[in-house]
Amino acid sequence: MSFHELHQKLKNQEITSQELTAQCLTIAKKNSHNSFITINEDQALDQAKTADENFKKGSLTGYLQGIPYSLKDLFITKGIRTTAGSLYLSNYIPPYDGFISQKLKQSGAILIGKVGCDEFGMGSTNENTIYGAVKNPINNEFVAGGSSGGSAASVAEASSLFSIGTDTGGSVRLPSNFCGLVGYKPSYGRVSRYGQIAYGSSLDQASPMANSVIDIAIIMKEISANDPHDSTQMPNSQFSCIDQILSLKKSSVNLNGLKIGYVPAFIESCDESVKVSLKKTLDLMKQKGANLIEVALPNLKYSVAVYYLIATSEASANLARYDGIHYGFRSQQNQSLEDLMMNSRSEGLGEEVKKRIMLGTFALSSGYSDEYFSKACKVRRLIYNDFMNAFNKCDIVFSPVCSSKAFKLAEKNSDKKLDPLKMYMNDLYTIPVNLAGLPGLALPVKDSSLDKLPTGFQLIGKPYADEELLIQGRKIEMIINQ
Amino acid sequence: MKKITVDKKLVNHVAYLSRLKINQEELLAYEEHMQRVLGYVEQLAEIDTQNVEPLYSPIFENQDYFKHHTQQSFKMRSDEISDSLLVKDVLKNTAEHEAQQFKINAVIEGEQ
Repeated sequence: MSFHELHQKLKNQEITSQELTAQCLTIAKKNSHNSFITINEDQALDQAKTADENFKKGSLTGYLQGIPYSLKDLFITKGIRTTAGSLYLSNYIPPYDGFISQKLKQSGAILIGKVGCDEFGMGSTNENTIYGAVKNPINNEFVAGGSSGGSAASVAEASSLFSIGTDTGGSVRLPSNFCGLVGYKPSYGRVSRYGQIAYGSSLDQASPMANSVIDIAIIMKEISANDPHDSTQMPNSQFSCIDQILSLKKSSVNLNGLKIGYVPAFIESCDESVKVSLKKTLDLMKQKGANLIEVALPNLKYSVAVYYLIATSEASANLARYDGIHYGFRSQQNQSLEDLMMNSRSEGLGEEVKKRIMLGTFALSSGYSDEYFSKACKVRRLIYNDFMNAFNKCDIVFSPVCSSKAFKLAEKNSDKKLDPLKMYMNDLYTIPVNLAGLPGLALPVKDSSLDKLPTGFQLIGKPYADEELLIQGRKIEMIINQ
Repeated sequence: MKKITVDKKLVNHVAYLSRLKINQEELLAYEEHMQRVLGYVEQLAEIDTQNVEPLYSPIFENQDYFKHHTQQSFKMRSDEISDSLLVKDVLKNTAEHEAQQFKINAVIEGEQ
């Protein structure tokens, strides 16, 4: 049931927000998948009570009123511990609310708690964290994906009806794909980053995860509101496509000649079950009126190399604030100020985080920044140009989210010790979307394999064409679920 | 892009710039990680980017698409002072504070 249908039932008091919230809290506390770092029980029950009173009074804030959700622990929440999945912030209680937390409070949605993630958003399996790996609710032996693994697991296990994660190189689209959810990375600059713990500032976007495109559109309406705190946000934009989406009918849905670009080699590169699913989806879309067009995105093969220079450089700068002084972890080994800083950072930050800081510092350092950081930024422009050239021929680009389905817990960790790149290559198809600042929608497809793990695909839209992408995405969602 | 050999000297230099302490047991792991990733990114050197401008942030590239959506341009907001956090709230998360200030080790030698 989508949020607009649930909203009617809540309005008519056929169900109550308190019932929904209690159900979610029960599952959250059962902790079957290690989804939560902090459960917000008392406040959630209060918020639900208020939501129900408001429904009774007829005081309505929108479709998210009374709906339980979770927040990736990279979003600042006033008075509620925010850890970034890190030892460094394990006791950090923010003195203010970030934009996402504020907005969702105003919308009347119910915060069940803060969910786990790879530390500071760095990882694709939600195993890089002192709070323990998050398990995939579809099959407990497998990873939930990352870095927004806790977000994905909380929606897939139904301890939340939606979650907000962050996506810097695929960190919402990948776990959505692994856990059978819809995950949406908006165009860069569509959602304010104020109060979102920064990883890669030219790449990060707050990104919703839910069970349908309708729900994603409803969430986007709230979280794309203007915020003067973020100067990279597109100001004065009015997000509007919910009415169009709700008016679509399954019986008559047609893509009406929509030009869908795809790169055959991307599809052929995937594991067998993913490949079969991608080809089937292309067929279904063609049957329902899509015009499939081969496009070339020749520089996308450099995306991982570009990302591991740019994202790490930005992270090196962003994580310089963790100095052992103002907030967060302070080492006991602090004979001098330099000791205090170096030991606090070294003891408080995890291994993967430190490795990425090192790469970024190197790429920005004197004597190397032209060859590494600036070079990567030039190739970033070539990747961007590839997409713009493709969009001369097509409306939307279709691609895999990941060439494989979810893999077993700790499997890639043992691989990682042999070759870190094996892990990094998981994001090959998601990273370019962040590099170009485009909107990217990950849609799930059930897979009938024995492991029960889902797969899915990605739709990539033109810059700021979020509404258009979600409308077409909803049509395609209806088509593949007929 | 010169082919780079990552050695202990480089790792220690970068660690210091990053204000990270890497002990002897960890040094090899960091060296190997840097070598592997920097070896991988060397492939960027083969791409001709002679007349290519770097792209630092998507917002500058997408101005035309942005205008199409809002009929406006990106503007810097005016630099006006507004309310911020109270000092007592700011100090809540630090390990030590005194006289409404963060307390740390002496910065200037000889000062008490």
